Amino acid sequence: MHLAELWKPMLLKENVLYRVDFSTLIVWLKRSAEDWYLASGKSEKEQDPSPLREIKGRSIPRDLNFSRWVVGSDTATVQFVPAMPDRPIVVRPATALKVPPGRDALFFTSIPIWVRVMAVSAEGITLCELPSLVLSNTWFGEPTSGELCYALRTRAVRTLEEVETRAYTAVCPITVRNRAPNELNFERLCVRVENLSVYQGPDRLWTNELEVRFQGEEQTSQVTIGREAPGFTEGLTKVCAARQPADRTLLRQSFSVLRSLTGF
Amino acid sequence: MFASILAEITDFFTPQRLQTLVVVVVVIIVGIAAIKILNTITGRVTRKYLSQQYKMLIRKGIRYTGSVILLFIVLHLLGVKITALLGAAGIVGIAIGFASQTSMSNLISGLFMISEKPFEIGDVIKMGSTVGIVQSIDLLSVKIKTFDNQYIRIPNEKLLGSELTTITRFPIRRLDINLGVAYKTDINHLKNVLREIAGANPYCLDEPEPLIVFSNFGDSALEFLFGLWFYKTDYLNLKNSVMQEIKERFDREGIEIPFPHLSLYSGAVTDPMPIRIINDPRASGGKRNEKAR
Repeated sequence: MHLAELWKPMLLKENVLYRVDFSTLIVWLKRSAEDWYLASGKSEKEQDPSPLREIKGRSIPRDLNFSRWVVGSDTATVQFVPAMPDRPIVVRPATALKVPPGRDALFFTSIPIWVRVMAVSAEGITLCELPSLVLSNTWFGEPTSGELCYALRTRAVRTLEEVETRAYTAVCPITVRNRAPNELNFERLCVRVENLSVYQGPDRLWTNELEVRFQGEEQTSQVTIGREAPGFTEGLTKVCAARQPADRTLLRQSFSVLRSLTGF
Repeated sequence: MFASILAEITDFFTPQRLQTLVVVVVVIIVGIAAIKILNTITGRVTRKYLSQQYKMLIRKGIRYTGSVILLFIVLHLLGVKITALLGAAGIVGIAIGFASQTSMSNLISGLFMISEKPFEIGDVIKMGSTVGIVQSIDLLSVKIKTFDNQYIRIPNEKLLGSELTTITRFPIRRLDINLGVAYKTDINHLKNVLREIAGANPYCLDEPEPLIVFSNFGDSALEFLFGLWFYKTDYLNLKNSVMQEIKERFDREGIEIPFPHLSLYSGAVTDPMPIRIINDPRASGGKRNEKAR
């Protein structure tokens, strides 16, 4: 399936039930003369996305819990927009990585997107946002003053060819530069996804490039967010702006070595 | 009769007294409005800098001080001698002070508590068997709302002298679940299953990692402590979901949660006393009946 099919605006017929699948997320949608009805569910396994389609007869689940939206009669077009999650993501490589002092490393991380359901009109009405994949919560920082994030395990692949092509993930290129005198033990990295935009390419989604300059465990890391679309492929268009546009360079405590909390 | 009352009222409300009365009413209206405006301005100025608790104290301080000043102004306008009143108030104050030792103790405890700041408005606290959300912290008492919507007033003196737990002081907490499994259970398999349950539950924090402690050889079960970290507002979501998930997953994996039972041994080290169930009537009642005959 072509990626553009999933994210393009679609005209809804009146009183017809539609369904669209994104990974584990299933969305049902129906439009009446004035109102829109929306229900969502979860499938047991991750599955290939399938675009908006009509659902009839026996394939309509009986236990759908619809919410009703007063959208008005002037709009009949829906668009699903890929957005970044609403909280930072703590990325943990499946295998711990070590970056020696003075070395740089480029990683590609696939971030599961959130789906923004929009009624297309002059002002664009956002109906809701739903995660394509429900990520586990995690804590970044001290237990008394840290930050609630989502947890994501990643293979942290080094080449673009190794990145799996998935319609419901956005590829985030992260360059880690170790400028500390000691080696960087890359166990987890907090990615402030709320500062990232989403770009659509011919075969996959992308986010801005990130550059993290590590200056020591007790020091704040310098995070630089790329201004433009990442330069790994051509023909990218911005489909969703960052939730919180940030300055290009941020000083953040990005790497963390959590204290052991396994004792009493 | 009516004419005489009317005459007395007319005599009382001389133009001078009416003028004073109008002035008093105007002063009260302006004074109350001034207190409210001052409270609003202070609230807006301190909104970003002070906690809800301190803001409430400042609001109350302005209201009470303003009301007392307004009262003195009104009494002065009505011709009451303030100095005599203050003298009398001093004597009355001493008498009230003796009579209200508990209140004074609460008041002083309240001042200590405000400076110590063990909790804030909106925190969940536990004292003894009482658990609830702090609604207000006053000089004499703390008011809390329990989760079944009851309003409880706890005197400050009692709070200061008792062990108090502020449940929501830190952003993350741990839910401790005590589990008992049958002695035949493969412990490594059990630990893996528990890790998978924690990993699959979105409310359970990935880090700090879940705690799995083999805590005891119990009477009827191997006892484990399963500690799950969660964000402080997710307590009910986590508890409801994870308890159900443990039961369902244990059933699927064939992990038995035993109920208390007792095994009798006849002397051998590990073999239980052999019991043979015989379903032959001649072996039980039949033979005895024969003998009876």
